[in-house]
Amino acid sequence: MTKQSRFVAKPEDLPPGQSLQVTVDGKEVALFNVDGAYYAVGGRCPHRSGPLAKGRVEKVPGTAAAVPGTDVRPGAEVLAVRCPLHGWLFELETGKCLTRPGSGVAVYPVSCQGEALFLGPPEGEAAGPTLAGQIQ
Amino acid sequence: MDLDKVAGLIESEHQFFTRVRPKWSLTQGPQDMELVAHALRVILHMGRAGESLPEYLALIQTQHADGGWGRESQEKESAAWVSAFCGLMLIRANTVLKDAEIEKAIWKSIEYFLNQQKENGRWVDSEWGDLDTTSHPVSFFNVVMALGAPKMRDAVRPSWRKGLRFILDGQSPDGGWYDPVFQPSGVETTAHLVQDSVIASLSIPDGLPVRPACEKGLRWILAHQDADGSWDEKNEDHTMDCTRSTLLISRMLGAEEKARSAIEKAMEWIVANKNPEGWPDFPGMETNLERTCDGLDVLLKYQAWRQPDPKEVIRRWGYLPGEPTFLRGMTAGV
Repeated sequence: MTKQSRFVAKPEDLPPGQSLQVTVDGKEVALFNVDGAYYAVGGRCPHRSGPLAKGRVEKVPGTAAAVPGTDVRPGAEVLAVRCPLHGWLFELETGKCLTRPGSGVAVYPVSCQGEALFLGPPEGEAAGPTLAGQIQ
Repeated sequence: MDLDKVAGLIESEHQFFTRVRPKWSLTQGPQDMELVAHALRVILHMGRAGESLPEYLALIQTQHADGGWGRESQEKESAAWVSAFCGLMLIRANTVLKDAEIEKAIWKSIEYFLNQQKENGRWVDSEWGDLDTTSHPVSFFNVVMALGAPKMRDAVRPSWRKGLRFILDGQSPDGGWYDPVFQPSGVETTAHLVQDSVIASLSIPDGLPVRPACEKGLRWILAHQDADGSWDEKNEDHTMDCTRSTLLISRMLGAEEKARSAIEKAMEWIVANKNPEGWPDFPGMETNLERTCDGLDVLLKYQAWRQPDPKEVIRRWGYLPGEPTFLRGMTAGV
């Protein structure tokens, strides 16, 4: 946890298999709990602003290059969320878009400290969506 | 659903739509073109095309030299999906407006699609699957074949049939259309394809034999409706697409009795899960203007489906040769 970390939810708000949409510093973030591991990515698909927190998490072949000294092979399975509107896939670890290379969403570090989940600042933030048509 | 309730909702939602015009009208500044096309469809189906010439002239001002449109009005690169939607809105509006400049733009759009079609009949767009992308120019060409002058029909006929063939060959044995990359669940792709591309052949001369494909598609859509009346787990967009598809296909196949309860259940769900103004992507979320345009379109098409004239709803897609009755009396200058 860093100084810029923000409290976003309690663990009981995000049980395994569930997702949650939160707003942090004016930006939407989609939180996921996959078998006890937490992930957080930018909340809107860059395609047509689909809400990623409403998407399904899937295990799909990823984009990872081979990592020397590890067993990670190119195309090894990764966890990804599929946009519920038009199916774009985003790796939860990296935010990379598997559907349209070059596109992606921000990734946020999530830490669980007792009864609180904290979100750090985005890592390697990708260009955000235009939020076409959203009316607050 | 009570038709007075439907009429009241259409009225109130249209007032909201009109109030937020700066967010969708090209006459007010740069816009997202998918949203513009959705808005023009609302204008068309509300019977307001005749008084909205500036909107359509603004649309042709953003057309590229190659005949296509970008995803954003100021974007230089043409994209197939949104270009087809724009071309479709122009040809349908021009049945009322009868504007020479719009006619030229329609021809340019036709040229764009004739030039962009691949050898196997598909069109491509990097942001959409091939089946979905292809359904849009085929939809545009459906209306050319239904409403266009003979010269226009002759120009598109071979390309149209080739695109239709690509779509028909892409149907799975279970009746759905799937895209393994974009839409493995198949719900939205199936709903799009059968209403946008395939069913029109039943009413258009020279169409391909499509009845079995449409019957299978309708069964597939009905089988995938959730118990609460929605599709794809309360997905408002997909529910609206499936509802519109079912309205049209069931009427054109003469299969309404099979679909009536599903349609009414879907309409109840759509109305129950709207916001005070507009519709969201999922229940409980903020209003999305594109979804609101879809919601208005569903109401207008349901209203047409309930009219005594059984062909009214088919006219609402532009698939029936002849003057669309809902546009009568709304000619330019009146």
